[in-house]
Amino acid sequence: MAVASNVRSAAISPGRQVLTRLWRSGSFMVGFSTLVVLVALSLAAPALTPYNPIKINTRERLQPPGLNHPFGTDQMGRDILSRVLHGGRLSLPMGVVPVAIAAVVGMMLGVIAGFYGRWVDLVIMRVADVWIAFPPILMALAVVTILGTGLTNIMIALGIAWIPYYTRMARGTVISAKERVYVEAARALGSQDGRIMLKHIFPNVLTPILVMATMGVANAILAGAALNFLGLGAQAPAPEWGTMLADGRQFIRLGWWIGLFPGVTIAVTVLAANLAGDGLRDALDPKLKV
Amino acid sequence: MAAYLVKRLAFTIPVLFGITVVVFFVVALIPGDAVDAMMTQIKLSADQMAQLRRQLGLDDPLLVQLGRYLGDLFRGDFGRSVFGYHPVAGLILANLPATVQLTVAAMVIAMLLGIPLGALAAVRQNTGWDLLGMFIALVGISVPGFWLGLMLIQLFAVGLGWLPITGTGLRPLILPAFALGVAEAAILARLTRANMVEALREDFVRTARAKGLNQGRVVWRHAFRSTVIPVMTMLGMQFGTLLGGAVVIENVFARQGLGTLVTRAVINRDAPVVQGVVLVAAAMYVLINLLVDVLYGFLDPRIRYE
Repeated sequence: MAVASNVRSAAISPGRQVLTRLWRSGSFMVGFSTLVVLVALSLAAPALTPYNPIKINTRERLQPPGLNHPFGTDQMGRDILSRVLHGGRLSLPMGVVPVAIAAVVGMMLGVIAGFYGRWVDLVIMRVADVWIAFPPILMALAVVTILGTGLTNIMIALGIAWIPYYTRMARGTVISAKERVYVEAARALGSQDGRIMLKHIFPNVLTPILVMATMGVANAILAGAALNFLGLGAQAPAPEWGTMLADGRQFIRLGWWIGLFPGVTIAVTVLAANLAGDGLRDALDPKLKV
Repeated sequence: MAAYLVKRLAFTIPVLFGITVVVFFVVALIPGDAVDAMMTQIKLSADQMAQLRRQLGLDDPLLVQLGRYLGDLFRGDFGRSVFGYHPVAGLILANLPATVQLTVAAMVIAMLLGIPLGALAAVRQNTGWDLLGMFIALVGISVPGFWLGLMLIQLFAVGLGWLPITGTGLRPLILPAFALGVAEAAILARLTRANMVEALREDFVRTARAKGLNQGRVVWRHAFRSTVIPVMTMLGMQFGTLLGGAVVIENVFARQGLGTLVTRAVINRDAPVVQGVVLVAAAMYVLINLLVDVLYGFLDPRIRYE
């Protein structure tokens, strides 16, 4: 029986195997479908919500959750559910953009360092050693001091702060990949450096980077919400989740729902991203499990 | 051991130097200089500005300025805040103890919650306890610390009145340390579980069981020992994350500390203060990890420094 299933799994492509493992992974399916629903709800927010997320309506202020306002209203009389749904359009990219910046730049630097070795490697990796010594949030604060506050700037700042983690991961993989027989064969056949990197080295690097990036999404949403909460990103009345919490913090005493719903939304999003990340890691590379 | 220490220090010094250079250039990149920043407070004529720039050495080439910056740092001069002109070194010294206190308290809470939770999950592997423990850990790493802080203030300080958030002593430290430490506890729980599951399968654990030792002794004296090093390593690596988290938590609880200092400085674009705090945080991170490395030898006699 074991032999039969081995034979069969050898016959299907690695891509199909990963998809099958993902499909069977409970944690991935729960996390991923939750994320899909959250993204869909945020995209459809203007059509779904009858209330304007920004317009002040003092007659409706501080209404507890009820039929008209399932999440209640805030100190300005704005419907919190509408704000949370619209806010996804600002808060969800916080999970993706910084990670994409860090992963792409970090991977390129790591591949270059690992492939060329010698002084190129030495310079890039010593800079990475120094970069990694800065706690990411503090590095992001320093970058925001240069770029100024704003939603785009904190995404760039977090991206810059996380680059060296991807550089280290990519370099490690390249160094082991470059010794493989097929790379030597390609070189012997006269392939150019660029071609070897793209065709033979990159595919090896992609899996660990993808796993790291997926695990990074949850972290990025948390860090982004925190920087927004500090007032460095979106500014009130924008319905960004962290900004909503900062904006309403003095009023939580008057209405618990003002603090509860944006926070639970962040937690659910991060939980879903963590579940999806765990599942993807196990499916792509079971060896990486800690 | 001595040779290893020298080698490890030899690696640390260039990193510390690199950190300083990076921090210097980060500030050099900021559009406008210290004199422009002062203009927001006092009106100066073009002549006065030019004179001030000459006095402060802002006209010199960047490398000359870098050299002067390094020299000043060496003498403990971190420059002066653009707002109020206070010495940055003094501001940092005044705020550092509160942040260290909060970070250490959060680490203690993380260990007290995380290690037993992970050990329980490992000992009762694949049972309801394991599942529950790991679900709690997953929720722990997913909840934003600053939001948890807001909710704790609401519940325990405002609502029930059990714990203060201002004042002196350890009691006002409990809620912020908990808000900061929960995510760390969750990470430690996962790590402890993974390591103990391995350790419980090892020969020395089987031998201990065969000798008839009771479960508690087997778990804590034998299996747990092998998880101390990974836990220490993780705490060292996570120290930076905790410092970053402290920035946010201090703001939530309106606590004095480096976090509130640096946040105000970033919003005011008070470059020398941001520069100083970031430099101190990075240096602390590097030195803590050096310390962790050195401690390995004491914790695990199998490790030889060569």
